[in-house]
Amino acid sequence: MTRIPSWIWPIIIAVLVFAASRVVKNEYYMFAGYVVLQYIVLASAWNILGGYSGYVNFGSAAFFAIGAYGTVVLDKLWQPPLVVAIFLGGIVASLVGLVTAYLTLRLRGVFFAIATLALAIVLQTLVVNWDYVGGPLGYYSVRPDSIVGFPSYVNYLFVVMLVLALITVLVARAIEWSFIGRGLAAIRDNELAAECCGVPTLRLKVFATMVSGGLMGMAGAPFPYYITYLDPNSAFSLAYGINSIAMPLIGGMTHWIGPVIGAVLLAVIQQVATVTISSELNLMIVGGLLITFITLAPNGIVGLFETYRQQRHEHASP
Amino acid sequence: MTQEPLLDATSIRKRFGGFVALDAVDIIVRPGERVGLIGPNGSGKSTLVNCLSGAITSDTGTICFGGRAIEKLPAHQRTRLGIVRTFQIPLPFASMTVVGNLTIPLRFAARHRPGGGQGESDLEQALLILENVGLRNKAHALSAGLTQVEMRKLELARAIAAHPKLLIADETMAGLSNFEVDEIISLLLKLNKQGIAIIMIEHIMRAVMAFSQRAIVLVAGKKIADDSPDVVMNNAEVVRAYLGE
Amino acid sequence: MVTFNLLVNAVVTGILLGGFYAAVTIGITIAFGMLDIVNIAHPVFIIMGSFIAYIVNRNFGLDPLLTVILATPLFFLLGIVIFRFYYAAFEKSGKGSLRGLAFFFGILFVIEVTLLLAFGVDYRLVQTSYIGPNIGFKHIDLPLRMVIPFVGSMTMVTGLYVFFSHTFIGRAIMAVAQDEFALSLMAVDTIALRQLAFGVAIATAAIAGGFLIVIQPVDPSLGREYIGRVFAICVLGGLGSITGTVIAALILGTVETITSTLFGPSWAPAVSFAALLLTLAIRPSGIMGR
Repeated sequence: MTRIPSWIWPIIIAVLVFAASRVVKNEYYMFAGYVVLQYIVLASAWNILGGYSGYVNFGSAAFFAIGAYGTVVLDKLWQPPLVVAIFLGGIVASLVGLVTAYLTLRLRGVFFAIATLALAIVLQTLVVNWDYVGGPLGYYSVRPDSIVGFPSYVNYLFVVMLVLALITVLVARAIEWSFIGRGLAAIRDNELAAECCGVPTLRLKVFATMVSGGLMGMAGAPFPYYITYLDPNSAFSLAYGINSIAMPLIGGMTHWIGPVIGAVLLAVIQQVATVTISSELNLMIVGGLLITFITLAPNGIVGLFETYRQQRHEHASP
Repeated sequence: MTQEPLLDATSIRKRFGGFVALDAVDIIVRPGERVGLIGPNGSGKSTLVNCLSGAITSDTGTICFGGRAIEKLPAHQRTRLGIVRTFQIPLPFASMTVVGNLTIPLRFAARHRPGGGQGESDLEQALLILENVGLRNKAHALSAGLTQVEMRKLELARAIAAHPKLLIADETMAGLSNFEVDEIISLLLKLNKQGIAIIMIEHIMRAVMAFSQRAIVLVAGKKIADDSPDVVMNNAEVVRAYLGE
Repeated sequence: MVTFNLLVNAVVTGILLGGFYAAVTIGITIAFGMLDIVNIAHPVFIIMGSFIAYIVNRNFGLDPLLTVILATPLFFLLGIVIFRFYYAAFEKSGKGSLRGLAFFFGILFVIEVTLLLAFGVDYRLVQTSYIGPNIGFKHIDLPLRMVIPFVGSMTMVTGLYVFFSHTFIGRAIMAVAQDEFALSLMAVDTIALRQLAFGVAIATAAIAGGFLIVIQPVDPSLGREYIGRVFAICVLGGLGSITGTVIAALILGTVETITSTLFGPSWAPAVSFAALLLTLAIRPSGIMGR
C-alpha cells in the first residue's frame, strides 16, 4: 500500500468538516467550532516562529487585533468582501511583524519575547485612544443577514475559518519540511553555530515572524463579524497570548500536528469549562496545564507519543 | 613567489569595556597556507577568530578575504565566501543526527559557492565527509549522544561541509590523547592538500610545530611574532610569555 | 490648560512615582539582571503583597506597610521554593531561559486568576492616616501617600545597593552573576547563593506591594500593566545595575506623569512599553550597561 503523503490528511479532514457544516443545523456548533478553528490558526501560526525557531512571541494578541481592527476600519470605510479584509489584515500584521522582528531579533530571544509583549500593550493603548474605531467603548459591526451559497452568515464565517485553518496548517507543514524549516531548526538548536554554518539567521527569523504574524492577522480579520461587538479588551485579550503558547507547547512544538492537537484539546476544554464552571477558571486551567507540561513533558503530546513509540520499538527488538 | 593573500586583516582592535582584547593585530594568510596561532590563555586568540569569522565586530580594522572587504558582512555571508571556523567547545545541533548536522552547512553555505552543491546529493556528500573524518558509522546517531572526540570530529566535519577556502580550527585537539591528536593532524593535512588554507589555534606545541608552515604568537592582544615555527619557538619574548620571567 | 505650576507638579509627582517604580523593579534587576531568570510573573507577586496588605488592613486595621514588612520573610521563603523548582525543572538540563519564561508566564496566570477568583474584579484600597493629606510648600503639592512610598522605596533600594556592594554575601552574589562557572570551580555553592538572591527578589515584591496599595487602588489584573514597565526600566537601566534601575525608574516615572498630564492617563501604559521598544532597538545595553 503506497504511503499517503501527510498533507493529504488535513485536506481530507477539512472536506469532511465542511460536509458536516452543510448538514448540521444547530448554529451553536458553528459558533463553538469557529473558536476551535481560530485557535488552530493561532497555535499553528505561533509555532512557525516559536516552535520551529525557539523565539517565543507573547504578543499574539497584537497581530490578531491588527486583523480585527483592520476589518473595523474597512467596515467603516467601504465594507469590502470578507476575503479582502482577511487579505489586508494579513498584510498589515505581517508588516508590523517585519518591523518588530527587524528591531529586536538581533538580540537574545528573551528580549524578543518581552518586546512582543510590549508591542501588544502599546497597540492596545493606541486603539483605546483611537475614537474612530470606538476607543474604549468598542465598535458594533453589523453582521450581514445572509450570504450567497451558505445557510447563514455564521455558517459562512465557520467555513472561512476552516479554510484559513487548512491554509495555515499546510503552510506550517510546508515550512517545516523545507530548507527554511531546517534553517529554523538549526537556529533553535544553536543560533551561533547556525550563523557560522551559513544560515542567514536574521533573514529566516524575520521571515518566520512575518508569516506567523500575517496568519494571526488573518485569523483576526473575521472576528468583528463573529462577535459583532468588538472592544479592545476582547481583541487584545491575554487569552490569545497564553493560548498561542500553551497550545503548541502542550500539543508538541516540533511537528505541525502538535499545535492542532493542542488547539483542539484546549479549546474544547475551555469551552466546556466556560459553560459549566466559569470563564475565569479557563485561564487558570490553561496556565496550570502550561506549567505542568513545560515541567514534565516539554515536548508535548507529540513528544510523549514519540517516546512511547520508541520504547515499544526497543521492547520489540531485544 | 608572492601570491595575492587569501586573508588580509589589518589593525584589528577590540575592547570589552575597559579591557583591550585585541590591539592592532595584523594577520595575513595565503591560499593553501598552514598557519599556527598560539599564545597564552586570554591573549585574544578566540577574540581574533570571532572577529575574523564575524561572530563579533571589531572596533576598527579592515578584513579582506579573497580581495573583498568583509568586515561589515554578517557571519553567515563570510562563511559562504569561504571563511569557516570551528568552535572550541563543540556546538552541535543537538536535535539532529550527525548527518543532519552536515546538511545545514551543505545547504546554506556550500551551495552558494560557484561549483558547490552540484553533483552528488547533500546526503552523499555528507556521508563522504563523515567517511573522511571517521564518523561514518555514527552517521544516523543523534549528535547529542557523541563522545568528546566524536564531537570535535563533527565540528570539523561540519566545517568541511561548508566548503571552506580558509578553515580556522579553534583548539580542536584540546584534551585529546596522543593518538587522537595525530588523527586530527593528518585529517587537517589531508584537507590542506586539497587546497584549503588552515589556521590552527592550539596549545599543543608538537601539533603546531608539526603542522604549521608559519606561526603567529599573540600575547595580551598584541602580535609579537610571525615567522616559521623554529624561529618563533626560539624567540626570547615568546619563551618569556609562556614560561614567565 | 497647561500651566507652569501644573508642569512642575507633574515633574515632582513623576519623581515620586519613579522612586516607587524603583522598588517595583529592583526584584527584576536582581532576578533577571543578575540571575538571568526571566521572572515575568514578578508583578503578580507585588499584587499578592498588595492584597495581603488589604486583607490585614480591612480585618485588623493594621498599617499596610507594616503588614508587608512582616510578610517579607514569607515572600522570601516563597522565592526560595520557586527557585528550587525552577532550578530543578529547567536550569539543570540547561534548556535555556525560554522554557523558564513560559513557566513564569504560566505562574503569572495562575496567580492572577486565583486572586481574581478570591477577590473579584473590584479595586481594593486601604485606609491609613497618610492617604489623603498632602504636604505642600510653595506651589508644589506632594501627596503624602506618594511621599512615604518614595522614601521607603529609596531606603530599600539603597539598602540593597549596600548589601550587594559591601557585604560578603552580596558581593558573592554579584560574582555569581558575572561568572558562575568560575565560582563553582572555587567550591562556592553558587546554587545556594542564587537561591538566596531570588528569595530577596521576591521579598522586595512584598514591600513594593505595600507601597502600591498605598499609592493607588489595586485590582488583580493591575500586574499586567507593570510587566512592561518593570522590564523597560530594567533594560533601560542596564540589566543588573541598581543605580541604573533607579535612574531609569525616575526617568520613566517623570515621563509617564508628564504624558498623563498633557495627553491624558490612558496614554501612560504606552510610554513605558514604547520606551522599552526604543531601548531595545537603539541601545540594548541600557544607560549603565557595558
